[in-house]
Amino acid sequence: MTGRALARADTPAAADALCARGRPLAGATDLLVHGLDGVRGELVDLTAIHDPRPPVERLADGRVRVSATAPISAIARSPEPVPVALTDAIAQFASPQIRNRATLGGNIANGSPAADLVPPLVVTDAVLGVRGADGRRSVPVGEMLAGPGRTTLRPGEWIEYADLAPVPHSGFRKLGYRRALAVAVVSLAWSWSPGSPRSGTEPGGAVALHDVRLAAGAVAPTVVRCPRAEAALNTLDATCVDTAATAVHDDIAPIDDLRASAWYRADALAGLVRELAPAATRQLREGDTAQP
Amino acid sequence: MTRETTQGTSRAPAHTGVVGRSLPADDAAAIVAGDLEYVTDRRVDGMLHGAVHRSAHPHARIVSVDTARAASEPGVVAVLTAGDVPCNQLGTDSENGAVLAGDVVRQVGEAIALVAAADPETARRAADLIEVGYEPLPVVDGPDSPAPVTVHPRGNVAGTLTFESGDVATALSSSDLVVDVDTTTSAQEHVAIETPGGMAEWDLGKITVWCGSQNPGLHRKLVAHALRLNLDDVRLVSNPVGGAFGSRNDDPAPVYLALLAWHTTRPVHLHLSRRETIVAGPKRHPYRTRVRLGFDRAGTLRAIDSRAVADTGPYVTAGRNVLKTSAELSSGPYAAPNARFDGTVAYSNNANAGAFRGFGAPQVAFALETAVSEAAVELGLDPVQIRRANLTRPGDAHSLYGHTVSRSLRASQTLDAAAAHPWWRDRDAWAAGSAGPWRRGTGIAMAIKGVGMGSGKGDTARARLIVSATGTVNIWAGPNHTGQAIGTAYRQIAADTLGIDHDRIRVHVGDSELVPESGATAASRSMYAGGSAVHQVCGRLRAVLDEPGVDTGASFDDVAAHLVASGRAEYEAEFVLPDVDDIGRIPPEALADYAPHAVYGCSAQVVRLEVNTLTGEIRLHGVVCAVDAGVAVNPGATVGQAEGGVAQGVGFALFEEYRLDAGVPVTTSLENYLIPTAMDVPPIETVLVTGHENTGPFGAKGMSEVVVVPTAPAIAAAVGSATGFWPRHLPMTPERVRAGLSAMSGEGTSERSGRRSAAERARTRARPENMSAEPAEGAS
Repeated sequence: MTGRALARADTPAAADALCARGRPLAGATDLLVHGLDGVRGELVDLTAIHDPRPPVERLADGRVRVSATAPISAIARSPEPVPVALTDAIAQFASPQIRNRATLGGNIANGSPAADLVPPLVVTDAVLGVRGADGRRSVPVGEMLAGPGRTTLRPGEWIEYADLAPVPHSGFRKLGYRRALAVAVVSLAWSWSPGSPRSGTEPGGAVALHDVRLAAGAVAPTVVRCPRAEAALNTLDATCVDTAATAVHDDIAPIDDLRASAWYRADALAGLVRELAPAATRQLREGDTAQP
Repeated sequence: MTRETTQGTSRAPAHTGVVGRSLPADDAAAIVAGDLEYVTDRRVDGMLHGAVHRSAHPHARIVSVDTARAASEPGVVAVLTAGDVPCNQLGTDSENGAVLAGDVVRQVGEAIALVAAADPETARRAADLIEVGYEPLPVVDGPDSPAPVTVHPRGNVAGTLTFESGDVATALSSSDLVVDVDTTTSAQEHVAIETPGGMAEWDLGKITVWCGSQNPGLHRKLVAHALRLNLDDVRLVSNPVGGAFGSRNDDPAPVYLALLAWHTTRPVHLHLSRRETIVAGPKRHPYRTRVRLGFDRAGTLRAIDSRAVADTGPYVTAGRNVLKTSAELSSGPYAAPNARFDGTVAYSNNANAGAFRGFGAPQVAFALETAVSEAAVELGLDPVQIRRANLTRPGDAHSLYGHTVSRSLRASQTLDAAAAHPWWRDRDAWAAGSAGPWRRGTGIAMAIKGVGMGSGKGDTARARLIVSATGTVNIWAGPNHTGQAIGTAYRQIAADTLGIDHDRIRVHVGDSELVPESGATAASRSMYAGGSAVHQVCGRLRAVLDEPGVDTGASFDDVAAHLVASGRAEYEAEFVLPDVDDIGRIPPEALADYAPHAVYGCSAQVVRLEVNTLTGEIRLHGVVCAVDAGVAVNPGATVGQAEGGVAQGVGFALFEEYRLDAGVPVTTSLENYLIPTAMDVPPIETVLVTGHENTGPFGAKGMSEVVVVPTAPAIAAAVGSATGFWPRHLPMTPERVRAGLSAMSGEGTSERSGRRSAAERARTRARPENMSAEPAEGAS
């Protein structure tokens, strides 16, 4: 009566074949929140794929390959480190039970502008390994995001992994309305390199930054980079941070919705940008031990 | 962690038994093991399954109801509409609402039809196949609605209550300081873990309903009235139930169940979904409360002036009584020579509001306590000092009504117990540790709440006792158990009254066929009222035991056998809650209209927290909950009530807001109606203040509601101390806090923290196209 079935793919090839006719599913943690009432047809469970490889692998070119179908809790405890922005985001994702089911691929393909794991992928220039019965292709994460609930995945395709570029310093901050099990009202991932190779500190004490990347969630139809704010963050002095916090308003297009007004989203994101200064200073002082 | 203080002067009588010990709840092992069968778990052979068809419109005339498709679904046994209800009314007048709406719907989610079918899926599908034709009417979306229609022919005012003592206007005009605080509080959802439902069976002309209820007596009357049955032919088995908090006080589910079973003459099971419960179930009344306090320069309170408007939704159930409680508690624990209350309960096409833990107290207390805290700042006084100086003392006259307050009130000791905690004493050191955008603050607030239904109501609890020949003492008593382990406390009271081991005592609650009518599990009355009835019925047996020659020193088995053989094994007793000694300014004939209390529980709470000034986020670091419960019969259970109350208070303060857009619910699941998680509830330190209520069992009085009340104003005061911004609107979301901070620092925003600010109106109207997307195309 329900017109619904679940198929389990035990190999990537089997997943390719099943996804040609069914809808891929990798964790189903969001599906269950919204209920199965409107779901019809065949669902293909990608989390049943038996993969002998670890969830995180270091590639020869220095990037890390992160499984898109492994539970994200496995990524967080992987011996092979991933950028701090991603582990931070996993730590702030839903609840421990959901982190044991949810996957990177599911979070990307769900297409939510508030997806917690997408901003870290954006600041690490992640390239997604996508496949299906018609073959494989590589898609930069920014090209995958098409709008609320929409991606550029083609019918039959699924996401197998994400390759993340190494970044010296990164982090993620989520602003939800409670401390667990809450959709982000605003989120911000960042990465940067020290401006000078030795200490990162310019003469006069201001911290110089290089290759700053900011990616904000829940402030536009997709997760977005914030180029104007990034450009303003040359150093970590108060003027720069003020300029960046002001500039970030022009990087985003928030809306009013159930959770927050556009005004608050923009205001709170500017607040998160301002919070970066102490966070960056601390990272430079203490160093990131978990960087790849 | 619990700390007990020994403040207070009165002494409990010495008792060496189990009263005062933290016995585990009788059902605890079964509950944690999953063995307990709740009412919604009940299944019998041949039962049918019910489902409800509900209104899609907040306000509309019903022009047609077509049940043909639903009725022709295979497996469907009955489809019932308004015409199938013998007396289609949920109470004594039409403003209480119909069992099934026939002519007009006044709320989204209002029940229009019931279905019984062979399985739950068929019942649900058939309910969805019912086609209702509507002619939409203008929506009354709140007390200020400009809609050109009224919810009921009589108008939109469900009730008013005004009272004044002294001359408030003159006192305010001659005060050195007048603090004027205009607040709003939200519609809060109970979120009992078990959603409403259960089973009903019609057998030999009698209906039995197994359904959670805090008020079996009321539910029996509602069922008997709707089905035109004799009250004696309605039996309600109302537990075990998975939580209530007020939501099972006048829940219509028992009537739906009875109607389905009566029509089909088969057992029918019905279990509402969470979404149905949120959309159609009762809420805490959202209030707008304005308080003006007049002080002299030294901080002495001269006048309290309160105006409250409550939105009760489309039908009035508890609304008028909720307003009554607001009036009585509008002066809180404070003594003022002049006091005025002016309150209105208004109809709307919003959620129906009903009973909820605190029952009108949290709304007015938020305004009052915020005003007191702000007055302390204005006058340069310590927040504890200004409160202590103005407290109502035991035996004093109440500020508004002038009735006598019980000598057991320990408001001063409760305040001192909270303020003695290091989290209050060390508040300056805490504030000094602020770092970056996170500013630290500490707040304190307090409240009282009456115990029982109030004077003039004839509030009564009863108990029945039978000694078995094998040495067991069976006691049937009420109020009922809704999760607070009241039966365990009754056993403790019985054991110590009789002077026998508590293992010999069995307490039975929640079955109307066996338990004498004892009123509602409400108004913080179960311990005080039910415990007193148990104490009295055991006192009768004890008097017999004390007769020469009865208790010969033999084992209780032998004594019991003797009692049975001599026809002295059965006892009944009732406890009528005492009215106030002196009714003060209340006209004697109107006593029940104001229903003042003699006995009050009290709580004072301290909150320490951090506020992020860049984002408006609040992180709680600790709550001290000092409670004046008289003697705690079961301290562990009392602490459990306190901690649960604080958690619910945290939700009310920071997260919970049932929202509608022009009468259409928008927060319909626990994904977007947020309650605190374990991560959001901070460490809670409960301090039980020692006291003794002479009219209560072993000195006990009620405390289960008052603990929910001070949390929100204490949090608000802590936010104020951390940032200088004093929240006026609940919940204190990050957006509201940030808007308040930004308005304070002149960043050019308008009154964004207002409950109905332009930004929020826009937000509730906006389609969530950007954020919460259509179903995903890819994996999820």
